[in-house]
Amino acid sequence: MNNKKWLIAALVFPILVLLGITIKNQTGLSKGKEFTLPVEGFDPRDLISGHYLMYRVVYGSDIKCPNEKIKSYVCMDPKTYFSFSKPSFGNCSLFIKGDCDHGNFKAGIERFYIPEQFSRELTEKIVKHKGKILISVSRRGDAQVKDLLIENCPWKNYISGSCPK
Amino acid sequence: MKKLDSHLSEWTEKGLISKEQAQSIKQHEDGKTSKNYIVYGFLLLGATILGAGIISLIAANWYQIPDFVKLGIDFLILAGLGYSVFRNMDSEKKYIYEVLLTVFVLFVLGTIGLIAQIYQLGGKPYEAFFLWSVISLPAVMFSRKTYLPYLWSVIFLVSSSFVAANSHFFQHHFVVEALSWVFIITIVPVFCVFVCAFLNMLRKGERFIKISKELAILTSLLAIVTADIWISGKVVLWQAHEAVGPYSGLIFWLPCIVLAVSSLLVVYSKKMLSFRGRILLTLLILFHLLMFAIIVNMQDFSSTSFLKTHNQFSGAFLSITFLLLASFLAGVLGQRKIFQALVVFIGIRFLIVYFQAMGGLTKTGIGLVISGLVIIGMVYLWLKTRKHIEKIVERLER
Repeated sequence: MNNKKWLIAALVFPILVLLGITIKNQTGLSKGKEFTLPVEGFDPRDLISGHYLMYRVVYGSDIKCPNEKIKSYVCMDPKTYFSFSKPSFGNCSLFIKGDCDHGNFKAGIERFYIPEQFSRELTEKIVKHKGKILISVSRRGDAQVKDLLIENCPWKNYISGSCPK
Repeated sequence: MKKLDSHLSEWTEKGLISKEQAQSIKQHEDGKTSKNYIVYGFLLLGATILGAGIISLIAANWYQIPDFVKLGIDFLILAGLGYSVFRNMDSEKKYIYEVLLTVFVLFVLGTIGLIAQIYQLGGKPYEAFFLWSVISLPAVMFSRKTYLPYLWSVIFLVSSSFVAANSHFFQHHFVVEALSWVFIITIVPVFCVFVCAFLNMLRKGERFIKISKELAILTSLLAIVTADIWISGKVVLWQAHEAVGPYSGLIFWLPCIVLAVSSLLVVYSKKMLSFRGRILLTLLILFHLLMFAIIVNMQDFSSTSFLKTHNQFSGAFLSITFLLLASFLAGVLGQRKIFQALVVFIGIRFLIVYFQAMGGLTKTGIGLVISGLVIIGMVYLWLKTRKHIEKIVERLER
C-alpha cells in the first residue's frame, strides 16, 4: 500500500509542477503591463520545440552588452534605459530583466513560434522592419511575448487577410 | 543462447554433467529468457518512438486550435496515462506497466514543449530537458527495467552539464567557456562514482547503482579522450593567464575533491571493494583529478617543461597511464569485458603514438608496410598474452 502511495505521488508530482508553470505564465500574460516593441533580423528554426522566428528586439535604448553572461535590465517606464544593476522603483516603475550574452541583451522574448508554412512570409516582413512584438511585463521584470504583429496587425489576422487597411 | 549451447556441449563431453541434465538446463533457460528481451526491447522502442511522435505532433504548431483546448487535452491525456500506469502496477503483464510508464514520462517532456510553444517561452532546449529530468525522476524510479532509468540518467547528465556551463556562476568564475567544460568533464565521472557509492551505502536504487557505475566508466573514457585531444592538439584554453582570478583554482577543484573524498570514504568504510580494489580506485580518482590539473596548468606556455614541449606525447602518457589504472581496477572488480575493452583502447593509443612519431614515414609505402606489420604484431601479441595478463590481474585480487 505504501508503494502505491509513493507511485501516486510520483505520477502526480510532474502534473502539478506543469500545472503550476501554466498558471504562472497565464497570470503573467493577463496581469502584466503591455508594450509593443519593433523587431528586426531572423534566424532558422529549432528542431526540438517546433518552428520559430528569431529576431532582435529594438528597445529604443543604447544597449552595450559585454561578451560574458551577466544579469542586466532595461527600464521601460517612464523612460527607456539600460542598466547592469536592478533599477530602483524611484527611477523606474517597470523594467525588463534579462542577461547580456555574447554582446546581446536577451530577455527570453527573442523568438516566436509560428507554423512552418508561414515562416517565409513572416520572415520577409520582419526583415523589412514591418514586425513588432506585443509583450507583457510583470512587476518583477519578467517579460512574455503575447503576440507577433505584422504591420500593426496580429499575425493570424494578417495571414488570414482580415487586417484593416 | 548459442553460448549456453556450446558450454553445455563442452561440459557434457567432459563428463561434468549428463545429457539429461544438459537438456533440463537448456529447457529451463529457454523458458526463462525465451523472447522476453526481444519483446521488451521492441515494446520500449515503440514507446519511445510513440513519445517522440507525440512531441513532433505538438511541435507541428496547431495554431488554429485555441491554446486552452490544446492544454486541456494535453493535461487530460497526461492524467489518463498516469492513471493507467497506476492501474497496471500489479498487472501480470509487466511489459504493459513499463510501456505505459515510458510513454507517461516522455509525454511529460511533450507537455513542457507545448507549454513553451503556447507561452512563447524563450528557454534553450537543454533547459527543457533539465526541467523534465528533475520532475520525472520520481516516476522513473518506479521503472522495473534499466532502459528508462538509463535514458533518464544520460539526459540528466548532459542537460545539467549544459545548464551549469551556461549559468551565471560558471560564466563568472570560468572566464573562458572552455574551462567550464574542463571542470564539467572532470567532475561528472567523480559525481557518478559518488552516486554509485552513496546508493550502495543506502542499499537502494539497484538499477541506478548499475547505471551510475557504467556511466562513470563511459564519462571517464570520454574525459580522457577529450583531455588527450586537448593536450596533444595544444588547445589553448584561455588567452591570458591573468584572466583567471586567485580563487578560481579552489572553485575548480573543491567540488571535485569533496565528491572524490566522500566516495572514497563510503567505499572504504563499507568495504565494498577488496583492499587492492580500494587502492586502485583511490589512485584512479586522484590521477583523474591530477590529469585535469595538468591541463589547466599547462596553459602557461611562457615557461618550458617536458610536458609542454612534448604535448603530443604528454597526452598519450596521461591517457595510457589512466587507462592502465582503469583496466587493473576493472580486472579487480571482475569486469572482464570492460577490462578487455580498456586494453584494446590502450593498444589503439599506442598505435596512435606510433603514427604520431612516424607521421612522415606513413606517407610512403615503406611506412604503410611497417604500420601493417606493427598492427599484425600487436594483435598476435595480444592473443598470446591476453590470458597471462588476466591471470596477473586475478592474482592482484587475491
